[in-house]
Amino acid sequence: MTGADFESSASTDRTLLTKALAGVAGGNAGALEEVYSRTAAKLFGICLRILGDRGDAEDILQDIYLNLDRRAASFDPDRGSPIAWLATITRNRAIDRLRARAARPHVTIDQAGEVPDPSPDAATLLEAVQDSARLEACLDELEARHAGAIRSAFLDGISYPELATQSAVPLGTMKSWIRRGLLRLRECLSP
Amino acid sequence: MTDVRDLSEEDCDFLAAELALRLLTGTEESEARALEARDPAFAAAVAAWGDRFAPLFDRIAPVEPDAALWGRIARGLALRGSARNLASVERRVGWWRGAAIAMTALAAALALVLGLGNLTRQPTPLPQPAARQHLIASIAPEGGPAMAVVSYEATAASLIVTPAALAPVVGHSHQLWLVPAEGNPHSLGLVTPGDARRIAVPAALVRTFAADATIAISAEQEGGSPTGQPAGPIVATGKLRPV
Repeated sequence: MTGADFESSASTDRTLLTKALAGVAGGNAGALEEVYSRTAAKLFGICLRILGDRGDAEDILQDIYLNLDRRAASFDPDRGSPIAWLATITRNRAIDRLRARAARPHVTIDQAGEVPDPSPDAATLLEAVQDSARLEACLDELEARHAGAIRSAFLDGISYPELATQSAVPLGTMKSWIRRGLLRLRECLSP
Repeated sequence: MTDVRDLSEEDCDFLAAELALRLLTGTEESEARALEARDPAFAAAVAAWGDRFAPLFDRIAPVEPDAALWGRIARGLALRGSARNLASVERRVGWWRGAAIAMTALAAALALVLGLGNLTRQPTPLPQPAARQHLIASIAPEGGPAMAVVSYEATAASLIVTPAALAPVVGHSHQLWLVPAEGNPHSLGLVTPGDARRIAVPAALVRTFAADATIAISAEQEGGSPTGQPAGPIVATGKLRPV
C-alpha cells in the first residue's frame, strides 16, 4: 500500500465514522454497533495500556459506548477526527479509573509490558501520516529525559508525582523538565 | 482558586498542557478543571494541546476486546430501554406527593373547624408532621431513565432499594452510596440487579437524610469498593426528595 492509499483509506474511514457518530447522537442503535466495530480495538488498546487489566479496560469501554448517545452530539467534525475525539475521552476515563484505584495494588507495568509499542507505520492511522511524523520528529529534538517524561504522561497517564518518583528527581525538577519540553515542543510544532 | 487573570499567557498555556496531559493531581487538577469549565479560552487551549498530542495515539497498538463485550453493551442498551417502564413508578411518586399535600390541607382545615368551636380556648398549635418522613429518589444515569428507586422511611430508619432496571455486570458489584451535600459518600452496601431489599440505616446517617442528600450507584470490583469510597465509575445518581 502506498502512502497515498493510506491517506485515502483514512479519509474514508473518518467520513464513515463521523456519519456513524451522528447516527448514534440521533439514537440509532445500529450506528452504535458500527462505531463499536470501527473503534473498539483501538480504544481497548488505550484502556489496556493505561490500566493494564482487561476487566477494568472492558468496564471503561462498556461505559463509554453505553453513554455515547448523549455524548456524540458534542463531537464537532470540523474541529478534529472522530477517532482522536473518542481516544481522548477514553484516555481520560481510563486515567480517572487508574487514579481511583491507586490505593489498590495492581500489576499495570508488568501487563502493559506485554503490549508492544508498534512503529507508527504499523499503527492504525489516527491522524494524517505527516502529523504523526512531525510530532515524533519534534519529540526527538527534545532532551531525551524531557521527551520520555512527556511520552509517559500521555501514553501511560502518569502524573507529576509518579513521574518524579520513577525518575528519582524532586517534583520541582520534573515540572521544569516538562515545562522546558513543552515550550520547545510548541515552538517546533507551530507553523 | 485559580484565576486566569492571575496567570501570564505563558503560564496559562502551560497549565492547559498540564491538564491535557493529566499531569496534575488532587486540588491542582480540580481547580484547573473548574477553570476549564468556566473559561472558554482556557478550554480551547486544553483542547489544542490534546490535538497536538493526538498523533501519539498511533503509538498504542489496537487490541481486540473480549468478543462478549458487545453483547454486554447491547444488553445494557436493552435494559435501559426497559427502564423506561419505571417512568410509571415515578408517576406514582408524583401522585403520592399530591396526596400528601391534600392530606395536610385537610388536616389543617379540620383543625381550623375544631378550633372555631372552641374560640375561648387558647388555640393549640397544630402537631407538625415530622419533616421529610418519607423520601424517595429515582436513581438514573445522567440524562437517562431510572435504573432504581430508593425510598426512605424515617420511622423504620431504613431504605428500600428497588434496582429494577440495573444492568448486571459480570465480575463486578454495584454499590449504593449516600452522598451528603457536604463530606464524603457513605456506603449503604451492595445492590443486586432486580433484587429489591431493605437496608437498615445506621443512626449516625439518619441526620444526613434531613439534608438534600444524593443516592448514587457505582460499579465496583466484586464484593464492593476496597477503599470505603467509590472507586469505580458512578453509573447512576438521584436526589432524595420528600414525598
